Amino acid sequence: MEHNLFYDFREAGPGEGMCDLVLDFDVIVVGGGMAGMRAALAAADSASVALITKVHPIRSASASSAGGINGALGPSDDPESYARDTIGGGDYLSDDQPVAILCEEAAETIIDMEHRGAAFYRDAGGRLALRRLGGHAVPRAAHAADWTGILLTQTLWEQLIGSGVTILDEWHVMRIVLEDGAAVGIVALDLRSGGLHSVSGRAVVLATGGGSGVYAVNTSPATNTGDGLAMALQAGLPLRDMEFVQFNPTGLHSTDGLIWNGVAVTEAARAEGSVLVNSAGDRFMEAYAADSRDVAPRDIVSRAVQSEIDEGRGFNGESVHLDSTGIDGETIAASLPHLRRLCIDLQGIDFADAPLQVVPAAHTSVGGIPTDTNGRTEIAGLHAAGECASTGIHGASSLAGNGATEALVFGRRAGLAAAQTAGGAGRVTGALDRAREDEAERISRLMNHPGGESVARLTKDLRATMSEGAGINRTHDGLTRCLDDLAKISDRMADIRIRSQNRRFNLELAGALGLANMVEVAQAIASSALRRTESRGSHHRVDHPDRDDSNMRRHTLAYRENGEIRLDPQEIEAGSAALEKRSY
Amino acid sequence: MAADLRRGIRIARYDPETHDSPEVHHYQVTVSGDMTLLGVLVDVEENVDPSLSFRYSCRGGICGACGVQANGMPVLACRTRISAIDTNDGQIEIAPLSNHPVIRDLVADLDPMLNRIASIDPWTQPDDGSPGSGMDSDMLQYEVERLGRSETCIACGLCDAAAPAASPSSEFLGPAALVRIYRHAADVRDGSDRQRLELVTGEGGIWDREPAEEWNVACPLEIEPANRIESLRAAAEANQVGKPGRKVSGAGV
Repeated sequence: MEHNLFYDFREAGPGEGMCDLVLDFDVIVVGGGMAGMRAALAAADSASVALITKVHPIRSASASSAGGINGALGPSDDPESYARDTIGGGDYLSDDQPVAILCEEAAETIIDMEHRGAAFYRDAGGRLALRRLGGHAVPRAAHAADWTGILLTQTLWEQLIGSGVTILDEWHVMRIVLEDGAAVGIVALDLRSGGLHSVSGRAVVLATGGGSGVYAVNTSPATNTGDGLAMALQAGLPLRDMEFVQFNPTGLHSTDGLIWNGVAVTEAARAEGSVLVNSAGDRFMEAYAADSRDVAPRDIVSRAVQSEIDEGRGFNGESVHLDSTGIDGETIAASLPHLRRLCIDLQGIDFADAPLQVVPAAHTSVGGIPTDTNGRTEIAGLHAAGECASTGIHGASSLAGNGATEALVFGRRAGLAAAQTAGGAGRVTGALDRAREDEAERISRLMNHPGGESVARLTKDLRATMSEGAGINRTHDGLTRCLDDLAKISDRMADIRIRSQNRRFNLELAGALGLANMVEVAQAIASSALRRTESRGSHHRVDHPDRDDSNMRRHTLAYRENGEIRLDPQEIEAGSAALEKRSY
Repeated sequence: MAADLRRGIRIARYDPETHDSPEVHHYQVTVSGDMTLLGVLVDVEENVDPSLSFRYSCRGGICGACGVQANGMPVLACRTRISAIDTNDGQIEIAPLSNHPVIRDLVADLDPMLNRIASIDPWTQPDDGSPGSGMDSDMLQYEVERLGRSETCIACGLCDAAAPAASPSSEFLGPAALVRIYRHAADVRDGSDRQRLELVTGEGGIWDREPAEEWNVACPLEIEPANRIESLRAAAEANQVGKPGRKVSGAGV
């Protein structure tokens, strides 16, 4: 891609020695997880592609999606059954067409990854082994032990190496640049050098992951701060269905709030036989989901765990136990070897002998940037895929193992569409240069402000506020207070002080940029949750405990206008599915 | 739970833009033995010295971003409890990963290693007999297991950082890239085993260094890089690829 690079040694400030780049590609993919890598691969067949990401692609959150990737591959399975489970799992808020595409294309997507090198586990007949994850009627998750996400990310990276895609990692994308209502590029802070780069492109694909890091207990990597979601809002796009936050029922619990607090215990554990137990020694899931018990959908299990804790049946009022002592050693060695070693390293506990303490942890954004089934948004040239997108498949709650399928199915589609968009138009620089100047000034202001607020303190306050007011159980009053507190946090951000002036690998500067995005995502979540006066899927209103199909079976659109969130309903596109009460 | 106590931690600080060599800074921090090294580093950055740089992301031992040397041993900071760090005198000294260039402070530049991995064409090159679309390849579970977890390498750089591996200037591919070759050479679906063996029997390959137990100890994914490389050596000899009789350079970086 040599011909696409030209270097501009701008004045970078006295003594900084920074070099600012001006680059040009057909397609810019922002985010290097499964969706971003798959999009880049698809686009690279016919376009020059840059993959720009905060962490190297193999270090993305995707690597920790351990449980598996769904597809109708089993002998008694078909795309229609898979679609039924997905729509029911989403509590009847999914759109039909994207679900049909997901379920139709899933199997071939998994086979394609297998051909590209992903070494999935096999059954006795040599076919891909399948695991039944929560909310699925049959086993349909292809997997390998508890490292499925590692396989998929490593395989995609290997494919990228042979593809000609230019990987620009440890770049924090600060803004999507628009001109005449179309996306024309991005401005990014190079975390290593401190330089500020501008990249022009005829199409931009956002694949930045979700925003669950806004909660005190979450499974997110520290680098995942909802950047794409916030940048979409800033570009004028709405975020859809943000009130739906998927909690993982089994985040590792640290009584001292150590840094690993919330790290996910994979769904694979319960699929392989781990059971949830309260302080009375009861397998309490029997009371909440008589048939599926511990492998009910994640929203149901998460609420059950929270209820046990809230009603005094937790351990020290803080957690419940995930008991794996009933699983035979052979199964643990074959299915959960990485998790076992991790828990020994982190806690000194071998879960083959003793239970783990777990709590619900904010895991994924169910909603996101609304797209069509080819990742297109309302802005020309701007696409989105993976967790940051809302294709309409997840409805009000995403089933375990569907995130990986979504990332690959719709990542590919977004990449192909982006490459198509990229044909023709010429390179635009005027808007990019202006945007770069704006962002340079923003950083300079941030670095030089003699304020009194600390990034770490504000981040903690934001997370506590969201967990308190917009967590698993929500009320009108709690959400209203939450929004008030978020406004105060937003105000306090203007007074942030960055203590170190060295721009290279400045953790506090990166944290401040991420925090600004997290606050906007948090406001979209809480505002949308306040408006939805019903309980559906992962959104539970204590003051509106029932599903309200006549008034609320609609998407929520949240726009950002003049610093305020404006909400609009949007009709769903669903007809066929009978509206049942979910029962597992 | 281990009791909280004040203790000293020494951290190598280095800014190649402004200094010729690293300086060791001494910090006093309150830690419990339950804390991970990553927790301590975050505590130092947030509360003691905001200019400290290090890399981390997942907090849970899977992304491979936070490798450092702790008292000389390469570890992932996020999955290493303070109480598990081997120390004679209670001292803890943290430095960037060895054998990788340093960007700043504890941030190693893993690009040279990733480029070595990229240089071996590390993607599956299907056999002619591989199936078309619509079915999975002919592979059995024991053939998956024969990969010996090499398919789970997260390229964290710990094995390359364990002596005696590659110095940045040497021709040696390093254990991470050699494990990647094993991963593909051992895969029944891959049709280029012989070319891969020829590649690793050349300069900088499997005969360049004796596979070291230190590489096995360092690997957080239990891939046992030295054992995988022994398997490559055995395969090269059995198939008479390359020059197994060649002089081995032995230990020492």
